[in-house]
Amino acid sequence: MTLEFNKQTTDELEALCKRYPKREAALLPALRLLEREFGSVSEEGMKLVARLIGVSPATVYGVVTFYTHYRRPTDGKFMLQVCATVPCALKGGVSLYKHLSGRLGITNGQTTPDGVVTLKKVECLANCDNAPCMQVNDWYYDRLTLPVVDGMIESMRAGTWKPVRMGYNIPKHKYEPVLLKHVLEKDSETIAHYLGRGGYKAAEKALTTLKPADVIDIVKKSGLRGRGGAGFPTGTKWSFVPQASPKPRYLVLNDDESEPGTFKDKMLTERDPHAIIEGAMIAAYAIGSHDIYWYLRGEFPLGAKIAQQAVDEAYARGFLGPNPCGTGYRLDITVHRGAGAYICGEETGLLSSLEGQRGNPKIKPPFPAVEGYFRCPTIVNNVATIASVPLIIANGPEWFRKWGTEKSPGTMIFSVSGHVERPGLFEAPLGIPLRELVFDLAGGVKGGRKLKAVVPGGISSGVLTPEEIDVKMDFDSLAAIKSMLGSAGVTVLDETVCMVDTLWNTLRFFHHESCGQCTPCREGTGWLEKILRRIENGHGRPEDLQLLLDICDGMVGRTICVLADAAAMPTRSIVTKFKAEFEAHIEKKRCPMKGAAAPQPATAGAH
Amino acid sequence: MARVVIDGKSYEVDGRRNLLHACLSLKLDLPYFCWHPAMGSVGACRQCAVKQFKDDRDTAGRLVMACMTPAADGTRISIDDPEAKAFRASVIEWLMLNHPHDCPVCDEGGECHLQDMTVMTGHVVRRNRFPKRTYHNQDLGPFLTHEMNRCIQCYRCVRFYRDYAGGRDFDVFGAHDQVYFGRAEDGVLESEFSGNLVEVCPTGVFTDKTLARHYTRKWDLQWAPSICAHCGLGCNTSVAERGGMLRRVMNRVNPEVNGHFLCDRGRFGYERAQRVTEDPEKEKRTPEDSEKKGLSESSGSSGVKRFSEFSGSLCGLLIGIGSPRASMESNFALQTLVGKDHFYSGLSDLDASLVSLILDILRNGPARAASLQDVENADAVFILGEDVTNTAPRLALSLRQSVRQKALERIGKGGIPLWHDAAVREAMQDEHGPLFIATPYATRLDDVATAVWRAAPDDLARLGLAVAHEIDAEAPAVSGFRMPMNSMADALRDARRPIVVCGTSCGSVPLIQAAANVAWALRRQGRAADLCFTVPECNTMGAALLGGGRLGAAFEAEADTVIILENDLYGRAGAAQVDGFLGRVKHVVVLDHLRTRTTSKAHLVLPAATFAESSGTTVNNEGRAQRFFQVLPSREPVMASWRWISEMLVAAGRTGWASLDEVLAAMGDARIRAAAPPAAGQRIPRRPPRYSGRTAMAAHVSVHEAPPPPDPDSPLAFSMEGFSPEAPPPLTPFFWWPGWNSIQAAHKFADGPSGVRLIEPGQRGAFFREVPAPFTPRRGEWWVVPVHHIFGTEEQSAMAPAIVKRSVEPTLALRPEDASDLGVSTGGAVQCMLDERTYRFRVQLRPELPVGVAGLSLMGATKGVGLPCWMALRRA
Repeated sequence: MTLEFNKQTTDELEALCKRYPKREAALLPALRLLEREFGSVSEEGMKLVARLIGVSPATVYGVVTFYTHYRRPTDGKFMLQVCATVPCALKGGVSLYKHLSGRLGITNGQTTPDGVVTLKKVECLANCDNAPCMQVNDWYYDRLTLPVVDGMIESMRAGTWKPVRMGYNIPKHKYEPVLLKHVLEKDSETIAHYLGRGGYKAAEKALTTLKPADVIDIVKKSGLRGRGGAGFPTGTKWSFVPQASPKPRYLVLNDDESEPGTFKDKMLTERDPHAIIEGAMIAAYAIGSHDIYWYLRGEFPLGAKIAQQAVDEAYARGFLGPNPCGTGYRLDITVHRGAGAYICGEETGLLSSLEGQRGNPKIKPPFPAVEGYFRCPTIVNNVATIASVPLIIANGPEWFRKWGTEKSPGTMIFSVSGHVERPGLFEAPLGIPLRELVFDLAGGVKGGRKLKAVVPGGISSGVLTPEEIDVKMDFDSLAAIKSMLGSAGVTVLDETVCMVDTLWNTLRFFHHESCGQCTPCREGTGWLEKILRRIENGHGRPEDLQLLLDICDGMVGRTICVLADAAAMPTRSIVTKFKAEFEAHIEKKRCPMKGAAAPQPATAGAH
Repeated sequence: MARVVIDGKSYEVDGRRNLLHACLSLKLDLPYFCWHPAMGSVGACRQCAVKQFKDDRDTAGRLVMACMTPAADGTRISIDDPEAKAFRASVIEWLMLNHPHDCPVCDEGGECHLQDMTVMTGHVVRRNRFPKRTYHNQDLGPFLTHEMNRCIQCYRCVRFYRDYAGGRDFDVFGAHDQVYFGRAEDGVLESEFSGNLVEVCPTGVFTDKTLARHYTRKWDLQWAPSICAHCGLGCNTSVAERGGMLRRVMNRVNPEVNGHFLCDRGRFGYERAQRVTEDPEKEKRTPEDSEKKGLSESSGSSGVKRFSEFSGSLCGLLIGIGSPRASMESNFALQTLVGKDHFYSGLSDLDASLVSLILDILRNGPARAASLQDVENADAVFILGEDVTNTAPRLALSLRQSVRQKALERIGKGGIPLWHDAAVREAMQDEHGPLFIATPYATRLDDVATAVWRAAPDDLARLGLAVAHEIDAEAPAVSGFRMPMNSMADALRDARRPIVVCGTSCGSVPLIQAAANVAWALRRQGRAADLCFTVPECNTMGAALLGGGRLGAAFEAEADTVIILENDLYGRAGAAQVDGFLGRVKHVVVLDHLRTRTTSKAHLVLPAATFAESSGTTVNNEGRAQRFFQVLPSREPVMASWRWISEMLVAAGRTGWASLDEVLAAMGDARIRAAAPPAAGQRIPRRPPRYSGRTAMAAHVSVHEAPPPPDPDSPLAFSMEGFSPEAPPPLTPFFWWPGWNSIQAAHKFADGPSGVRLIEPGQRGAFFREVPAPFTPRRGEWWVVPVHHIFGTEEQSAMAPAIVKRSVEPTLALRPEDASDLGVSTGGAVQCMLDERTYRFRVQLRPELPVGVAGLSLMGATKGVGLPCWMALRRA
């Protein structure tokens, strides 16, 4: 059977294709249209998209199978995606999954015989403060309990299920929020609300009174560093765009928030999208770009909807389009949804994905600022970085330096999850002690239990022991103790946590998210995961500890992108800092935190 | 040149290369996977890590990937550095996590790059204790076996198939350590170059399915350097046998011709010759006398005796018909036997006139005959009339690279090293061309064309002439011609090394003249324009160079005896004409290894050796004389055609030749002789040092090792003894080096070109001035052009089992409008009278055909009908 799109979808696709420099770049959104019209991405559908986009069916199949988020024809009416990554696992995410699996009688990726439910164990949904969480089709469900999910299953089977939109919550604390100031206000995502609090004034100021070089200069002076993980100085990055290049320039907003333990971008996107749009206008103006792509991770359908509404509003009010602020400086924003791949948060992987390809990172140099999106100068900035820009322009660089340290100025939105009394987003000056963040702002370890470890910057960062938590939460202080601030996703682990299990979970994530390009990462992450599974299940051997470290040695700094490093850092730190726990697992032939050893799998040890 | 220091020693290397390539060129051992000499670097496998030092004071150094590091002057590296070595061993350890330990049952075993690299890095102890992942394997058609479990994810297959060869039905799927290389669904690989995956894959994921049917380890094969016999390009191959059976064909690097790749016809077409050589009795390879007179069984001399009876009793005229698929030596031998005046070249009359025109153009005009390497480096190409993928397949692969040249030049200037494939392809995006394709019907290269135009051959010729005129006003103008492709002349003029591709397949003299005019006009404008003409068969050019009368004249000669050399006359002229001729001649003697309609009409058939059983020289489309060598000792009574003829000469009391060198000496062309060294000096073994079973092979007959069969025709020996490492390229039987058992060993061998160009350009400046009239369609009749098929058109490969599976049923291609006028649709049939016979063809609709033009598959019976021609068609 040959599929065809209806007229409306065809027109939509054509309009979409025009928003990209090349037709094939519209592949991911075209697949979303396919999903929308036919309910899933089928083989025939892929052939249709291949024909319409002008690539081969094999290429489309290659792209579809790289990502995890497309619905396949075999999937049920309801797609239950249960987060089982560390922050959720700490709050019972794995148990939730196991419960559902048992209740539905299906395992990961399977669909119930009645075709109602598909169950998937997925990686971090960026909702860690509301752990354990689950995504049902397009909808997030927070802080789930077993009775609640049981009720959901019943209603799905009965056909009475209706989506419920979760609310937002941010713990109050002693620091005055800057970026998060308005996010809990009603209608904060609307342009009316944004204009009411002085929105778009900074963009108007920049576009009408400042030269691009001046904007870059102000941002440089503010000392703003990227909030996405690497902490590279934003103004400096912008200044790398070759001024003489005749090629078009692009600004790409990285909203592919997927570092486990981080959930700040989702909040900004859903609750203050106009701050991002305004920041993007200023940034695009500064680098001489007219075309902005807002890349959201595939798991944020709500965010994508809100972002699109905000962009539409900004067009309607003339902030975007041919004549923003009466300057004639054309600005266009295209909201682009990813499809479920952590690696697309890496800027070159993101660009591959935005080009309609598998999200494989590219070799640097050249850096995207010089040759990025379709080989044109491209700046990729995290949305939280971008959202800071209007405030800096409006209030000046010195204002921004009121907070933070000399080298890490400003506030940072810390995402705190795990075993704390008050998980959530905490916007605080960079450089506050981790101890203050955990024990003061987040209310300390839940239930008064003892602290075992803290992951300071998303699970890619090396873990810290209770002795190390006096470290200041800024880029340089954490780097000095061989960890990193990263995206400031702080996950707190109490004394009940098994570090072997946690590391296994972490490696399951990296194994799953490796793109498969470089040998050390593709093979190393999987091998580490299997060894950790083995130790956790009581089948480890004493030599395994050295093997884990040996594998890490081969991974760090030896691949095209840093995903291998991101997997090796926590491994090295946990294996060395919690060595005794690993030894206990091996000696006792079981996890000391759990009961008896899991039965030896029939194939373990086989060649 | 650049000076680099490797492990404390200073070396002079080519600074344009990367360090890995430089190290390999120095014959140093450095393991790698994802790099390929023709495809460059992507830096993904991380196997070629070395330690780089900033200067001589830097002792710490840092690990870099050699394939991603330029061999810049002053670079200091260490291959032996312990950290680098340990890392390289760990890469192998990772790759081995999921690689099955199935070497004993793997077809790649013993010639596996992964095995070699594993041994080289010293990884021996397995620390992995987990089950290995398994995959579904796909049925990819008759050429390749797919065994994905062995994959080490070097991505070379997809880079070759998709990026290099332009294939669209093969890709990489999945992610992390579950990446899969294959088709979206099971099915025949569409690319005409899929067989190269056998060599591109560093391990046993893609192996030769034809070899598997008669499998032998590489080390147990006896090899000979050969020249592909399946089209006019003369790609260099290594052919292999064991136990008297032809087993496989592999690529042999000739940088100026085929480089590292072959087409699937060239790689898999050998099985026809295999069938022929495998069982001489079944294949009736004994002298065959239709009258069964005085012919004892299977004796070579009896054949000659019988021939002598014919010729002894003969007072009348003896004529010889040569062959474009027989060697220079055999053609020359026949010419010598019958005398120049009674020798006919064996080409169809049309081909003879086309090829002699081509020869005239290449010899006397100012444009050179382009090699495939020249084509690959061309920065603008104009294809006139040829569907190269089907007429000269390997040329299509070169053309696919030529469309990158213009962009490469720009990128090279921008500072990106051209070996850096990842960066280059990024920088290039989809910039390509200029490549202009003007043909009667769509071709497989259209996807990379700047512009395409479909027209009847005469109109194509007018286009060519008009372009030539636009480039140089001195060339004749084409009045009333509207240029269909804009700025074509400008694009060609803007190029530095433009090439015009044309050939014989349209059967059009004006077209070839037009191609010459374009190239010459460019020459007059100071561009180094070359011409690349395709010719139908492996020695068409040689046959034309040797000369001889037209076939039509042979048919009219009052001959009593005709000797037909490796030629099926029914493919050269109409059946009625051939029937008449063969019926009239008293003694028809045919020398051939194929059973053809001609052999069935012969009075005496003498079994000739195939390319695998004989040595000789062919001349390719470029005019390059290249020698092929026998890999199988020919079995009594089979002999090389020239040997049969030599015996006839002796029987007639004249002087024969005892060796190929003697024939070559008699031919008297020093350049042809120089195509390969003579059979003198130290012998080069055809068998690798690892050859096994030497004393046991014939143990069921005798435990004594028989002396190897003599080979007076080459410096090669049918044994393991001799000296191979320094064999010059034309005499390199196989690529093997200690530690390098796979074909990747090629870099250990001299990488110079081989073969001798016989044709160099002249000075003549005058353009062809004749302009054909525009093509005028006729009512009820169509100008039917031949449609070539890579699998099926060429006679010697057409019957190879794997090729047969890829062959299509011959069809007649019609415009849909024309078909509906005739009242037929796809799958329906039309019929026409040709040569007093009624032919029936299945119809295929091709909307792109020009008005008044149809296309007919050129295979089997349609070869003799004399395409192109007018045909009146009606519904069958």
